[in-house]
Amino acid sequence: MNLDDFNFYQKLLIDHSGLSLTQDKTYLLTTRLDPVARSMEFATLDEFTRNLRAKLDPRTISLVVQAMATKETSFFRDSLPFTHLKNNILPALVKKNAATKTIRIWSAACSTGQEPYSIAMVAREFLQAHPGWAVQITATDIADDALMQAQEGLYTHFDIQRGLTMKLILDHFTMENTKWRVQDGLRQMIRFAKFNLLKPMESMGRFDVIFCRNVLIYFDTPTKKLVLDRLAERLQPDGYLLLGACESSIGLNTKLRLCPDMSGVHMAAIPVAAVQKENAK
Amino acid sequence: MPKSKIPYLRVLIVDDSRMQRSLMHEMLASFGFKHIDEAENSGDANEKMDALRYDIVFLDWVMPGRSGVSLMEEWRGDRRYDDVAMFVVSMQDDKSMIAGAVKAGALSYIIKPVTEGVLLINVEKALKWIDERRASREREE
Repeated sequence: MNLDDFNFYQKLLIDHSGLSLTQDKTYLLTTRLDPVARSMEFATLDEFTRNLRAKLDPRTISLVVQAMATKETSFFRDSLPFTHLKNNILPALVKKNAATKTIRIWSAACSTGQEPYSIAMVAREFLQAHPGWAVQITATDIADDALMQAQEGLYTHFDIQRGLTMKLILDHFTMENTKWRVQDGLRQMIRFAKFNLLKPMESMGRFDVIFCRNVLIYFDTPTKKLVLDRLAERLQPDGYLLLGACESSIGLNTKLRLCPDMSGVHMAAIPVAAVQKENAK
Repeated sequence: MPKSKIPYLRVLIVDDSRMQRSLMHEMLASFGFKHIDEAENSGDANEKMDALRYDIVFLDWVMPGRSGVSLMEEWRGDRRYDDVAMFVVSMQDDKSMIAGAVKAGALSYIIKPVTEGVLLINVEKALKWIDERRASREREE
């Protein structure tokens, strides 16, 4: 791919999704867009690009954005965030939310569903030990095809073997031909919806915990700050934001502070009174 | 356990199909395993295990004579083998059978046809499990 075409895609992706692509990611463009070009019956990616540049068809743009929104994921990816959730965050919320007995969790870039289902598995174990409590999980993503797959909850033997023990597989999945389907009980704990992280987030409500992992790495610095500030506003006072293993708010001067006891976990730095005022509206 | 330990680990593939054995043998060799043995039935496997304690064993469920799961149950009852990572490999994709294999002591269950991706994930599981198992045994001693 020539530099001119790269610049075209770079701008297109920034404008439509906020995905920031550095030139070392050119290989990502070619590997991900080649199948899109083929599916639209173009002989080559160059031909597809020429066509798109001549006519910016919104449907094609949407396909490009979806193909580029990363899908690298596995159950209990990086494991530490889920250990934090189980051992520290949920026990803390039991004290904090004793009045409502409800915990709201947002998986903000859920991709093909492995993250929200992993959260649901942890939540299920929590609920068994805490009858009368409710855990509401909202899972969103920008990519339609990933979201469809997430909602479907159908995984290959390879997918489920990545990150899951046999016990978890047997407890939460049923076999369907050669694939594994998430059991209804687990799926019903999650509400799936399409959402672009660059859009205003007020409609999402407030959450006790937000997982937004491995998305920020694709954003440029101003976008990163904007998204982090908006996520901070979606947190309940002393709510928790969990970022990817290589991501941090450090140096971005956001409305977040690092959680002292848990590495990789952030908390909102907004004065509690301001949030309470907004909640009272 | 780092992957650099792979060349020092001993693997046994138990399967009555020669093609299946050589397929898995090839994949395991490509991951870096240097010591890979094969057995074509449970009797052969038992002799080999007795002579040379393996670290990782892949057992075909259905074989002429004694089944892989039955052999695994016996091995699981033997303290000498309590840090051996055992896997059941089978065409059977029925959930209750898979649960049975896990109950009998399989670390994981691999559905045939075996693919490189699934095999690699399970090798990683085995490395981690062996490490934890040996660490906890050292603590006990």
